Amino acid sequence: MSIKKTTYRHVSVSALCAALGICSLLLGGVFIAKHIDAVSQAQEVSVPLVASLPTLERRLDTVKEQVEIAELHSAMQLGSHEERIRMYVVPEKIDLDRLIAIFEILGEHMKSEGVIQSMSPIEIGQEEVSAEYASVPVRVSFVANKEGVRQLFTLLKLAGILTISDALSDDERTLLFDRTESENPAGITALETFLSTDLLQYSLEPQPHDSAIRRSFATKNFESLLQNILQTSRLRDARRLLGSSFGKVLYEYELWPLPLMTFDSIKTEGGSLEGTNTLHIQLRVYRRL
Amino acid sequence: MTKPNKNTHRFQDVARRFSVGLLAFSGTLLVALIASWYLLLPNLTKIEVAGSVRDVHELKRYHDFLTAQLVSATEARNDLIIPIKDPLYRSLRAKKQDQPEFTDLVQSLRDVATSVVGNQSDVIYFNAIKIVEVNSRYHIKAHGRVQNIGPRSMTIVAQFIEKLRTLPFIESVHSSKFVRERTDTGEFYSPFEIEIILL
Repeated sequence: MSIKKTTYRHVSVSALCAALGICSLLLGGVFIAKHIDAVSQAQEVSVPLVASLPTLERRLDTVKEQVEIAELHSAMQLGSHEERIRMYVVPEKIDLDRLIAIFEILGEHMKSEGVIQSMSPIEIGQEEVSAEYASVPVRVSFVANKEGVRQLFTLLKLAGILTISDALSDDERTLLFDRTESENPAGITALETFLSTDLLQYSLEPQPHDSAIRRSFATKNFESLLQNILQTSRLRDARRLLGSSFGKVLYEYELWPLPLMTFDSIKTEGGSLEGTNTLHIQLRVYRRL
Repeated sequence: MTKPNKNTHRFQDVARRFSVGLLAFSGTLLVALIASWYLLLPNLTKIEVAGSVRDVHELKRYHDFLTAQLVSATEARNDLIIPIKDPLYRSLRAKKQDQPEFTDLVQSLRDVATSVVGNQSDVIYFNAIKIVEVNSRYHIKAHGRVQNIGPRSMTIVAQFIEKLRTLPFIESVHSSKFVRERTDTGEFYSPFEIEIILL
């Protein structure tokens, strides 16, 4: 009887040891898997992250420094652009006399240049009010040659554009901003001055403004970017139109800045815009509520 | 005296001897792995960055934090540099910049016409091309006719419309009619009225 009890005790202890041993093995397997995962994460994630962090920290420091400089510079600027926007571009009340004067002077100038043959009377429609603004449709027709059509559409594009910054696309501005980080972070004030230059003033005399920005960013990369922007953006169209006698007329008659205009419809009779075309344009002029 | 028989070693005996060794080995392995996990691995996988020792999850969080800060600082800088902050002006200027270029659209229609009929510039003739804004979408209405191509005039209209549909900035093209008519001199022509909706 006692031999059977001893045997039974031995079997129980062995079974317990075996069970504990197997459990320990399984837990060990889990820990080995966690080790492998931790090491592979360190290789695949941590190493690239650590490599990118210094660049990120440097960029952040540079941009923060630029924010401080830009804040100081902005505080010293007068708010003249904002005032001109409220007085002439998107005013509280649309100045119809000024609007008609713009078209009359435009028409006379283009006739004297021989780019339009005639301009119809200007029809001003009923004001329409929406949630953010009110607007007035304006209908006018022209008989114009190819150059006249080009000037008319350029003028439409530039109507309401006040500064160099407004004439650039979001992508062009972003490229300029990003370039200051890498080339000369402190040159952000020069860029700010360039972008806030009045577009008519710039078009009539671009050299001093181009030279000033080039002095702050004297590298070939920036020069190439600036050239590209000057050749492909609305700045090129502005320099051509506003830099001509038309810009001088606007300046002399104090008709700049132009009210902001968009088109509702444009119709050309004939389908080539070559030769002589009759253009019927319905524009929209805006005022703030 | 009889010799012991090998067949008398029972499974229980083998298991009893094996289980102790198994427990000893696996227990030792487990203790070593636990010690490695808490004492050795952190020293190998944690990295000191910006004055703090960080593991992979903390590194990711720090990277995301820096990225968010950079985006915010960049937006603040860009906003400060842009001279005019009037929100109504910015909104209307954006609307203006989104308007399509009429001259480019007219040229595109002419380029498609040329691709259909080659250098025969008197075949697809436009009486009028109009662009109009309808509920923030732009519609082009083109009126004209296909002429000087004989009885194929209707086919040319269809080909022209099919080619227009392949342009990437066009959502849809509708034509009200496909007809073939004759002039007083017996020449075939097909007038068309096409409405194009831009993307």
